[in-house]
Amino acid sequence: MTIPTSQELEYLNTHPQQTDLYLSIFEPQVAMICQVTGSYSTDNQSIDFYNSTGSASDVGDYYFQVALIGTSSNSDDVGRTWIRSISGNTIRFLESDHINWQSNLYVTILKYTEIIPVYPHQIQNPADEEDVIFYKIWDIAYTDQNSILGTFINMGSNYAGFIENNGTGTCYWSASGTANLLDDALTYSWIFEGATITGSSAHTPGEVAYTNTGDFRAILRVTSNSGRVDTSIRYVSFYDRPGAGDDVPILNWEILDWGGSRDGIGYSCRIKIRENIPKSKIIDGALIVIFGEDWYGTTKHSVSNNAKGRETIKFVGYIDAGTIQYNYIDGYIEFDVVSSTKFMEFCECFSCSIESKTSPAYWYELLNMDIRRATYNYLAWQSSVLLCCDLEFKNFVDQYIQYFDADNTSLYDAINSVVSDARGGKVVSDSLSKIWIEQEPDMVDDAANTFPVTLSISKKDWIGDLIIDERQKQDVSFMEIGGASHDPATNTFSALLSDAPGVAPAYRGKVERIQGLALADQDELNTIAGNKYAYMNSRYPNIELNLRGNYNNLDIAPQEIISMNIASSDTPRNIVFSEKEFVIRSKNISWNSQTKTILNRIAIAELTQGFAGTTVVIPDVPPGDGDDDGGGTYKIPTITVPPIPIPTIFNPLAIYHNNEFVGNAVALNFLDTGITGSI
Amino acid sequence: MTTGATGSYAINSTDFTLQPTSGRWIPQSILGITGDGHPIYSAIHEFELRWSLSTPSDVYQIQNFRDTVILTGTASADLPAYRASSYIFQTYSGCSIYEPDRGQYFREHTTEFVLIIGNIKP
Repeated sequence: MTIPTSQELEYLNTHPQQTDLYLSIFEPQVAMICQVTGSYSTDNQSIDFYNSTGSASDVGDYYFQVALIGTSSNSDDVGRTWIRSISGNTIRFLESDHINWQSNLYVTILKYTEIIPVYPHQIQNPADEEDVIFYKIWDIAYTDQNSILGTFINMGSNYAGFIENNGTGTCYWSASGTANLLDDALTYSWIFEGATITGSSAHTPGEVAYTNTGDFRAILRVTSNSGRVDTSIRYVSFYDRPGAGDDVPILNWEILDWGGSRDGIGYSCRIKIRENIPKSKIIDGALIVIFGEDWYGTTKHSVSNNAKGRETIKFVGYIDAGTIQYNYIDGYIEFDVVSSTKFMEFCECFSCSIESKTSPAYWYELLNMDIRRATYNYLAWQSSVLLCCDLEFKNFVDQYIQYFDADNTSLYDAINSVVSDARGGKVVSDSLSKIWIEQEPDMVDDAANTFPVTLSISKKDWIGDLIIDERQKQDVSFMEIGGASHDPATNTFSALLSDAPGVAPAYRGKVERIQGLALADQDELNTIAGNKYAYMNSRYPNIELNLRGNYNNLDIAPQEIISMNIASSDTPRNIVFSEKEFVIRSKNISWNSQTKTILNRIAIAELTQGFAGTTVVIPDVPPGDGDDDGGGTYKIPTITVPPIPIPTIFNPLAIYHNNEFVGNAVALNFLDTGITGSI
Repeated sequence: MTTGATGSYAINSTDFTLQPTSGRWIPQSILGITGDGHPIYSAIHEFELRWSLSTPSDVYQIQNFRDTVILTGTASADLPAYRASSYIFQTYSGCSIYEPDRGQYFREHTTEFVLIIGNIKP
């Protein structure tokens, strides 16, 4: 939780404050190096190998580990692809037609899994040319994957830290937040590479000790009571403290434009490094961890953030390769780092279409589908996202949906579209790249009592100017909002419609129409209509303030309340807030390495509560628009059945000459009667 | 010679071969003023040492102090105490040393040689 303890609140109020930050770029260990022989099989994306070093056992089936393809070991001058499995002397890849495969090329397999799309596959049914057979990950046929459902694994973010003077560094591990889609009981199997223990079967192994510097994996495999197995992988880097050894993190660096927002779906920053660094480390998708140590007064303490045991981790993200720049005059390299959700925007995948069923029999059917199940199905079978990131639904009331259709689009848009369109939610990553799926504040009834309060702020907490946007007139005068409630048991649905603020619009603002929500019933829709209307017309949609210190507990996700206190004398407008509830919309962080200070600038929006909208009865047939009914009553149109035309049927005469058919005629006129023979 | 922990300016317990002409705690810039009127400062302080005229060997020693801690290292500095009821020296550890600023040469001496010691947490 981001809610600080009373002790931590004291720390936040203690000055001066100090923060040291360090930059870690995860450098994956090499699992195996080999050379290819023979030709690449496009039927099953495999190729034989020889001359291998390393261990194939470090290459987990379906971990989609990175494979560098090059003319020498550790080189990716030919390309980069991803491993599916290794058996004997054969490697299977994900579809890798983009590699110009040739004998003797080197394959360097890294102990690293990154966010990628995973392509589905379909073929014409050999037994029925009008039928199509669907596969996932090229050739995985449907058996029971969409009824024996899997698990969203939460195991904590990637981590970086120091080996302390006692020769040990620790990292806290827990599966807290892990949730199975069938609410099955779960068993846990942890693997800790590089740690003093090799593994654990506990839900929360707690602090795990590491005694060597280096870059390691932690792997969690969760098995549900129904037998479904899910896996997720995180990365840990341990360093010597500066001055205590050679394996130190990057020290000569700076961070710019560091911030995140809910509208921006996560965080980003720009990093500038002024020391020599191997080209192989600054690559697309490389994992960046910014970690630090905080002092409040003389007390060394890092205020808790979203994840227990990750208080010292300030940012986790991935290098956006399109932004890497070198400056040869000043001698630095700089690049953008983005959080997981933003990185998912770079990854496009094929379309996906799923229908809710009580007894799924195909890949395109899913057991009693709701938003959670649709999200899991897409991310688990068409991406590696769940291998790389925690994902948790919070402040989210789910509903059944009948269909889920994702276009050929990015991994992010595919899931955000269903979350947003069906339940008014948003997919946002926090500063640690954990993915949170929440409904926006306008969709949460009684949000002021639903979201927890993380901080109470008054004028002692901000510095400089406080900017308050005050909405003096309504933006929205009228809202029509609709959707459907779906009953998976009967596979039936009801269309629902509601108006807010009532039948008549207010006198200022535009008309807003929203359709496509997945709903429980009419009452829920009326409540949503009223709350959305109130939020869109909130009095204080945006307040921006600079906080006076290092508020590590504040984040853009999950949503939590900041209660504001402003006295009448604080502003010339004489606004008075007394523990008024606001929610964070954005947070920007500036770190000064010289003064070792972190300052935050946040933007917050007022939480509102509306009154219920009005039910609109949806007629079975559309209302008429004639003069006699005023367009407001129901009119069953008269169906005029036109007379059935009776065709004129002609029986043409066949003309024969000397018993030989020579043609047809409709009529013959005889000119005289001297004709002999027969017609 | 002054009294105190060491009694003279020193880096890593080694006295400067030439004690600085002057020294001072550099005033901190204000990070901001809170809504209730209180200034916010950093926890980190800087100290400036100034030599009006230094021989090459004096400069060489100071430059060597700097070179040992360029990127990853830290130094301890014996400086007049930031917070004390009398003029005493105190050892501050974990300090960084900035690249010195040098004035003109005058008769084979360096004028206005300035060294700033940073990352001091009094």
